[in-house]
Amino acid sequence: MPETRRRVEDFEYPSEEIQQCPYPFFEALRAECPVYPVKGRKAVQLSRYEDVAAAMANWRHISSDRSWLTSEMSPEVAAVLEEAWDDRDVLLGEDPPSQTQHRRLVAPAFAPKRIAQLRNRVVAMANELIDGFAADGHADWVTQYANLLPARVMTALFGVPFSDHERLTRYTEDYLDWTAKMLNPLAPEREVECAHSIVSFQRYVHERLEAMKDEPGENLFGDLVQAENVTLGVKIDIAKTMLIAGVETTRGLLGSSMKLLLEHPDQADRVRADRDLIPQVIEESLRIESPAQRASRWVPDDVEIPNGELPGGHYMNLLIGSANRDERVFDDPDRFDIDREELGRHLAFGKGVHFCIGSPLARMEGVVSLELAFERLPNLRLGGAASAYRANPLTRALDSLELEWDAS
Amino acid sequence: VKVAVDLAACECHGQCEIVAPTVFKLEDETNLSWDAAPPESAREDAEAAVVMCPTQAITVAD
Repeated sequence: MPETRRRVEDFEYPSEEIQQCPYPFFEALRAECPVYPVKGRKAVQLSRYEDVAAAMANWRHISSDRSWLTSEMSPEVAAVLEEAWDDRDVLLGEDPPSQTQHRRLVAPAFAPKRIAQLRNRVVAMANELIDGFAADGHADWVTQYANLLPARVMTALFGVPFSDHERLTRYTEDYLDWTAKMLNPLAPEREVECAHSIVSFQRYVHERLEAMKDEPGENLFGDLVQAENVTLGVKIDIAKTMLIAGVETTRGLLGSSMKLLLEHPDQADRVRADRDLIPQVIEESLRIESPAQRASRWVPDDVEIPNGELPGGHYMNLLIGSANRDERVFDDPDRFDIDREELGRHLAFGKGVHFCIGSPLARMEGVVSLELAFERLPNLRLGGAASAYRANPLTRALDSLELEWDAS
Repeated sequence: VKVAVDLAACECHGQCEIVAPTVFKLEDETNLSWDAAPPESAREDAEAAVVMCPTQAITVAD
């Protein structure tokens, strides 16, 4: 008997069910309605790989510019932000040529040589975190590791003191809540708190850049200090984008890759015997639980995409998490399989001019984390408690992940 | 100037075409064409493409 697939109309969207596991909904969208109009808004969601990839590649007609996007703010929030530099969303929220110009400023920080230089420091930071719980025989991999490592690594990438990681984590949390507030509205007090945090982050970046003027060093802030013809506001905005993109998505990857691998003991045993398989684990994890679940675009004029056309004046949500499970591209797409033929074809890092510049760093953090965990935590396995995904429709990251191992 | 592209590494993100449009051209989403021996005047742009390529697929030599 064929399985009955649920229809799009059977789902309540948005809902907690879809938040926890959006994939059955995405499957219905891909089958019935690849260009899905969002109720009450001039917006569509693209769910098929072909459309998402085509939209990402077509920056000339499908724009990332978000300067037209304005949100209303309370007088309290406006008063706080009066002291702030404009949040212009450089890099992610702009198109070439300005996007290219800004990307050129950060490209050197992600060159293979620089990433290779960071590796030893990432290993040391990861080892220090594991030292904190190795003797216990159990830990929450998300709260005691995955949520902590990326902000620490950002201190090395930026070239700021390691002790800054706590404030970087706090700024990230606040910025994330702030940027998601259109989808998840905030309490008025929380909104004011986030606005304060934005102002203090901007001041922080300004101070650090000032302090580096004499000895910039080979790091991202050092590159920004030396950049000419770029305003301080743009530099601050770049720092913000790098921080959020580097922290939130990477912690999603670190949590999901561990969970997925341990849920598949046969594949985990192969990895124990051959650590060289770890990069494949990371790629398959990026595909099946993509940390960045969607990208947004703006369509100024009528445009064609492979499975439809769209009148100008619409927004587009590119459902990366759906594209990466498209059965037209990935065989048995819900199966976690580190040997799959289509391993590298996922769109987890995007495609085209916005392709994730930090992908080499994210991959390295992912590989180092699994290598060290398997090396140092004997007979590593899932603990009893169930884990849930955080309530954020933009990114996919676990709230917690209980692990156990044989402590000596 | 000699320009080489490692097609095994190239994922056609198109950064090269934007910074060095006289040297590189994305024919479609999976095909890149390029001038393997552009004039000296294109050197600076070609070198920018080396830095900008997210998969480090481009090399420029004399």
